[in-house]
Amino acid sequence: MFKAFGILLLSTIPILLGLRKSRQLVQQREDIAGLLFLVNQCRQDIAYQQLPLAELISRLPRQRYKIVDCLIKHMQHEPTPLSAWNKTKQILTHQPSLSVMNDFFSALGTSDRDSQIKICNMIAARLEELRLALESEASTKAKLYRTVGILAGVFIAILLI
Amino acid sequence: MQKPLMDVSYYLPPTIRPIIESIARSDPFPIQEIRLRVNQPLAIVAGGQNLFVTKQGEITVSPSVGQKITGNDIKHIFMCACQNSVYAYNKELQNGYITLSGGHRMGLAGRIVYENNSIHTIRDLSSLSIRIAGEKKGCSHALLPYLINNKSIRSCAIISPPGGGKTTVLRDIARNISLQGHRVCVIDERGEIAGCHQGNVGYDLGPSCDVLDRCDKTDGLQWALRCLSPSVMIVDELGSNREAQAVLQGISGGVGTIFSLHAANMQQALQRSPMLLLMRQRVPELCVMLGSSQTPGKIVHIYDFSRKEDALLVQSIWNSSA
Repeated sequence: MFKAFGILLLSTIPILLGLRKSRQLVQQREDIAGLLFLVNQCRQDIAYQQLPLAELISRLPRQRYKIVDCLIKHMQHEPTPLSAWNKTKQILTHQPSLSVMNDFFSALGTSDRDSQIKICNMIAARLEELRLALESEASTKAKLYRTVGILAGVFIAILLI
Repeated sequence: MQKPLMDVSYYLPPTIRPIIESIARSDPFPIQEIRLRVNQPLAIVAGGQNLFVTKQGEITVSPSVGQKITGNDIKHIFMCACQNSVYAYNKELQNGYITLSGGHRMGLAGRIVYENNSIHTIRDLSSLSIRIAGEKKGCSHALLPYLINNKSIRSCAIISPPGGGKTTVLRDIARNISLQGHRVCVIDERGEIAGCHQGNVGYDLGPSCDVLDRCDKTDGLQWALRCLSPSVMIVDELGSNREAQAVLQGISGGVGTIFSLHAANMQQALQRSPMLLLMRQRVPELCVMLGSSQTPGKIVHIYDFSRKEDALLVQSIWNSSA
């Protein structure tokens, strides 16, 4: 009984690790899509409505992207968008997009409309590059991690039986 | 407690906020302005006099003991006033000021950036001047019998040097006329008369007052005539011939207009081209001179052009200045 339970436990661990890694890649892809959505919305609202950032962020549609939801939540308690981002970024695991967004939030709101639009365009282009790179990585590696995890689990189970 | 000063303290950095709040609480005298300059002591203007404030919140005439202002303090106040969104305040920045919540005006000084021969924006801020908006209910009471004539409102110019209380008097006139049941339309280009914030009028302007917030005076006067059917329109700080023409259009449309103008006396007012343009068309019917910045909102003299002696007096001033 204990042996069977031990075998099950040990073989589950690599399967879960593989699935977790694969899920992380999918989540990163979703986060970048959310960040791209955020930057594009900022560009649009700055260009046409010129809303202050706090209002602009609070008006973003909720429950679409986890990262945007988190930013809206922090914006309610933080005085500046940069400080709200500093709290939000803790959930972002993709390092390259993190540094791009740090640049974005430190430049956001500090200059005139035309400069802000240019900044948004530049950040959107950088995020788009990262999204494409992650897309190809996710499509191949996500499956790989999942398969390797399951195979390792099965292998451990066979070995122990 | 000085509530307007407490409102303004929201914009100040943690190094200065407690100092200003302690002054607001102790309420020694009404403060008209807070002046902040990089690497210079924190200054206030009260009763037309320049004073300095120490770190402990004591008011002194000696600048050497005043709390020093840093570039970061100026940046903090500016970003807070812009709601961390400089792009949303481009028009105000081109005019050199930002209106804070409550109608307080923050004047800016720094490096001016030109584009296509016109001011594009301002950067590297070196000093700020926060003018505290005051509400003096009743300061226009003496004027009302002159303004309201057989249920119609006469056109009127409020003249004073900067800090003389023009906006305060206009605000009180708007409230008093509105309370008497006349439809008032305030064209508030700088957001100082009504102190609107997110659609809410910050000051008591009575029950019959419409506000066109942050609206260009020329556009606003036409808008009000077309859409709001006012009995009287109120505009602050007439500065160009274009605006004077818009006032003339309003008056020819049968609507009295009350406006303010920067000038130290009648002679100076008559040398300003918008006033000259209006006077040639026998507008306004009343001219009200206010005191200096030491006595803001105090009516010094009323020229009523329906009275022969006043008309002759102004004519002689006009002739001498010409």
